This record gives sequence, structure tokens and C-alpha cells, in this order.
Amino acid sequence: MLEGSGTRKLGGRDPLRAFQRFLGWSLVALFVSLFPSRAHAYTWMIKHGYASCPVCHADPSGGELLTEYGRVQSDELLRMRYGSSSTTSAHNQVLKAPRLVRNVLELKTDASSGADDDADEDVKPKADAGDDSAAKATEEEAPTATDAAPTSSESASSESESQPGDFLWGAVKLPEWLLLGGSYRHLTVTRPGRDEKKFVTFPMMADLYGQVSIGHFRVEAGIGAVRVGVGSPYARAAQVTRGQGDEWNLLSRTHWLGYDLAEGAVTLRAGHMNLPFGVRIPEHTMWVRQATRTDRESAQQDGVALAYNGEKLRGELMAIAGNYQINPDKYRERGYSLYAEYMVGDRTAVGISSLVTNAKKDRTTLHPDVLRQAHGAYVRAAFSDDIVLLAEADGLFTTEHDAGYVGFAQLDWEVTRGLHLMGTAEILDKGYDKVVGGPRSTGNGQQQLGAWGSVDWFCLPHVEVRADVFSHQDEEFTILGQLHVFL
Amino acid sequence: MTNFTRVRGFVFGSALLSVVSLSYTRPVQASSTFPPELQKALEKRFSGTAFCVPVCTACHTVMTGGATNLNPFGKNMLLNGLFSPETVDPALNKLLDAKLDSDGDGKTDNDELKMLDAPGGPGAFCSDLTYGCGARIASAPPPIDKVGLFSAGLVGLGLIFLRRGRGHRANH
Repeated sequence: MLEGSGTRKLGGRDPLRAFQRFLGWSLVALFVSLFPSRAHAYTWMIKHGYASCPVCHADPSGGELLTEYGRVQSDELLRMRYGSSSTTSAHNQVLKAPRLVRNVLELKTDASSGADDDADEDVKPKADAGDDSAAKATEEEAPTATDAAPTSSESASSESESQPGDFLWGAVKLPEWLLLGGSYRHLTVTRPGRDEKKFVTFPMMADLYGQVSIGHFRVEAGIGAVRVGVGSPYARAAQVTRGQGDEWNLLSRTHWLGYDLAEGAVTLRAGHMNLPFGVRIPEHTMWVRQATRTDRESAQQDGVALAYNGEKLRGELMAIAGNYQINPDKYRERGYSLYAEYMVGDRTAVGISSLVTNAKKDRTTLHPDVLRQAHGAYVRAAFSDDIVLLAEADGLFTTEHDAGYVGFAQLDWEVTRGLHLMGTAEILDKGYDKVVGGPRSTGNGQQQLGAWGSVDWFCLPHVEVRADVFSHQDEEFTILGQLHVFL
Repeated sequence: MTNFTRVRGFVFGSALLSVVSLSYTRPVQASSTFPPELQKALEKRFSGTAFCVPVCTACHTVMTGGATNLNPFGKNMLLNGLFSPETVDPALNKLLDAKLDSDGDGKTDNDELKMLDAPGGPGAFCSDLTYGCGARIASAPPPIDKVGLFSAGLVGLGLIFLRRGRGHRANH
């Protein structure tokens, strides 16, 4: 493990003790989370009873392409409401809740609210987050997940009326076998400490995705466009066109063929996919995602994955065949990645993750014959209807490096529906690089600390505005502004 | 406030927000301008030798760069006055004139660079890593009027909201 060498210059603490302290507080948080009051991925959707991802997403482990049900929930649960919410009821369509959601809601209702009046035919939780009876089960049988990848819908309203679950803000009703989606993120980056180029702004993401379902089979693909500078650590690994300079390139972050088994509880996929590891957060620059190379920005790999989503247990195992969008073959990492998660309470989940890959030459350090490992644990816990904790801690083990570690803890407070305040703390030591040698530095044999403050406002249907300020030890203070529109 | 008025308010607010966010659009630069400047400085110093655009491990310990990930050559460049792309050339010349051996392998940085070797340690100066699996996009993309494009997008968004608003009013 880490060499304990007594007092260090930065923080005056031994990195091993720092990691042990971080792990200790994580365990405290875990213990506290075992006794939730009512508890609310966006992985903090667990507070609304949505611990499992495929009810709202095409990917069984979450992210990007929304199902019709997911689109309805983004309207019902994510965005801010203004004035009277009476029109919401008028927009509600009779939508069968997928089985996993329905059963979780039933459990929550029984445990915390006693006898509840059955809802009419509206199966969605009410918009009022403070009302525990918002989690009502439907009397109807949920469809199997294969019926409509994974939801089906029956609209009780006239065909001419737009519904929140329909595509393009309700303008286009898609057939059951087709899912379409997209995401545009525009970013502003301000670094007040710089003398020049303090402010830059650019489109960070412009992707379209779609999925076609034929019986138990599903085909998913995404395509986008990006323009990054030479040497940029972002986007390149997802390119499909071969421009190596600062020109525009097409990219595809995910594309896979899937087969649903056991009424959708099990999904086998093959293709280019997000790695199943840790908490699937949208902040791809968080150290837990960067240091483990498991972010959703461009860390996808080709391989075969088996996902299971049960009532309390869910997980995914992926055999990694390499990223065939980078060349030559010596840079492709092969191995496995997995996570397993268990609901220990109504709104608390704990998980473990593990990743092992080997490459003839490491794409990031250019070191030869690199075996890279990351193993850790995480927790998602809703302490109340408004406060959620996400936390993860991983050990990093890489050839010709000392053992390292990375972790984060994020507290999300939904001040009012649609407005989130978040505080995040990060810690990182990638492990001293013995190949490069030289003195130890922050993040390289010494701990590095970081802190974020964020405001996330779901101001309109499928529109999100976000501001982050973050400070990483020995790096520039940075302010981010983001506009996100998703279809 | 009627739904229609509220929808118009949303559309106007979105339009205002997007125009403001777009009004300062500039191309992304950041530290990825250093490698091409280093290439130019090397070709000027060692005229007659073709240099690749160096990868980030020429000065950093990782391909992702970063202020805390400098190798010995990168640190010496900073010490010799590097702080912006325009200072790459003078900093490099000052460093090479001083006959430094950044990685302590017995060969001066000047000699290593002349042989297209990495002066900062066992990282790489040039890389054969390439991205993508298909064709290139056309080399001269048409100029994009970003404000116009977003305005068009917002008009489309507004029309969708208006259609929803009319549908709701019709039912009431």
C-alpha cells in the first residue's frame, strides 16, 4: 500500500492516513444512510424511489437516451414548477409504470405511509415531493420490459394533444419500437487567475441517439459532432472520423446490440458502451471518473456486457475488448469492469466496483505493458425528500506506480422542485509514477484535494442551467456555466 | 397567467439566456496551442529537420497535460520563461543554450531533441496514437453563424411550445 513517511509538506498528513480518514467518514455516512427517513440519474433520483435505471433509460445502467416513461418523469420530477400545477394533471397520460418501479413504490408506500388511497389511473408519483403518498402504485399490470424498450404507453387523451412523454417536447409521438433522444451542452469556462484567455465558451456536447426494438432485440446508436484542439484529453477516443487536428469530427459514444431476457431484468449487450463502474454521474471531470477512466464523455469501450436489474440487487459485468476507435491496437485496453449494487433501505443503495485492464502501451502515459486496476465502493442515500448523498472511494493500482486512491462525496439539496444546490469534495493520489521519477507532487505520490459548489436548475422541460465553481489544489480556480437541452 | 403567456415567457427567457451565452463564443484554445508552437520553435532551431507536433508527454507526465503533471523538461521550460504559447520559442532557446540535461540521462536536451528523442524522461515526444475509424469530414467546413443557428433552434423550440399551448387551450 502507500508508503507512510510521516509528515508531508502539503497538509502535513500521511496520504495513507488521509485515505483512511476519508474511508472512515464514508463508512459513517454509509451507517447513517442505513436509517433513512424518507429518502429522493441523475443518480439522486433514488430519493423518488427510482433506484434502478432502465425504467427511465435505454441503457440498463443509466444515462443518455430516455424511455418515454423517463421523459415523463423528467417533466414530473425534475423540472421546476411555476404557479399552479393544475395543468400538470391535465397533461398526465395513463402510463404503465415498468414493473421494477411499481414494486419499489409499493414497498415504500407500505413501509412509510400505511394505507394509501389508490390513485385513479395515474401511475406517476405526484409532483409534490414532500408528500409521501406521491409514490402510489397502479392497479394495472406492468408490461414486460421488452414490449417497448423498455416501456409501453397508452395515452388516454386525444391524439392531437401533446404529452410530456412524447418526443420533442410532446410534439412527436414515436412508435413503441422507436426511442429517440439527444443532448446539447454548451459550456462557459472562466479562470479568473489567468492573464489571458480567462473566458472561453464552446459547445461541449451535441449528440443524437436512437434505439430500435424488435421483439427482445434492441439496437442503440448515438452520433454527435465535436471540435477539440490537438492534444485535448476529451472527445478524441469517441471519434469515428479521423481528423487529428482541430477540425470538426463526428463521434459516437455508444452503439450496441442488446437482447432482453427474463422480462427485461437481464440484458445482454455487445458493442461500444459506457463502462459499468461506480456512481454514473454527469460530471465527467470529477476525479473518480477521470482517474478510473470510467466517465461517460469518451471513456467508452467495445465489449460484451451482462446487466441485471432486480428489485433490490442490480449490477453489470462487462468484458472489455478494447476501444476500436483508437489506433493502433497496442493502445487498446482489455479486461473487465463491473459493479454490483444492493438496496439496503427504501432509498439507500450501496455498491462495489472493480476494473482490471491491460494494454501493451498506455494511451495516457505512453508507458509500456500497463496493468491498470481500480476497486472500490460507493453509496447513494436519500436522507430526506430533498437531500441525497453520493459518495465513492476507489483504490488505484497501476504498473510502475505506487498504490493510489480517489474519492468523492457529493451532497445534493433540492431547495425547491427543480433547483439543486450541491457541494462536492474530492481527493486524489494517482500513485507515485516510478517511471517518470523525480519528486512527489500533488496527485503524484501526494494527496490532492478539490472542492466544488454547484447550482443546478431544471428551469424548463428538458432544459437545465448549471453553474459550478471548483478549486483543485495547485490548479486554477475555475467557474463553469452550462446550458443543457435534452430531447 | 394563461398557459400561452407562460409558454411565451419561457421561450423568451430561453432565447435571452442562449443569446447571452453565445455572445462571447470563441474557439477553444487552452494549452493545446503549446504543441504546435513547440513544433515551430524546434523546426526554427534545427532547420532542415522535420518535427512532429509533440504530444503532451513532451512536457507532462500524462497525455492529458495539466499544471501539476510536468516532467523535468516541462519544469525547466517554465523556469526559463514559458507561460504562454508566444513564449515557447524564447524559453526553448534559453533552455537549450544553457545545455541542460532535464532527465539526467547524460545527454543534453539539445542533443536529444536533435535526435527526435524525448528530453523529459521516458515518456514520448511523438506518438503514433490516432483516433477515429472512418473518413474525414471535409477540410473546409462552412462557417457557422452560431447566433443564427441558435436563434433558429430557439424559434423551433418556441413553435413547439406554442403548439403545446394551443393544444391545451383547445381542450379547455
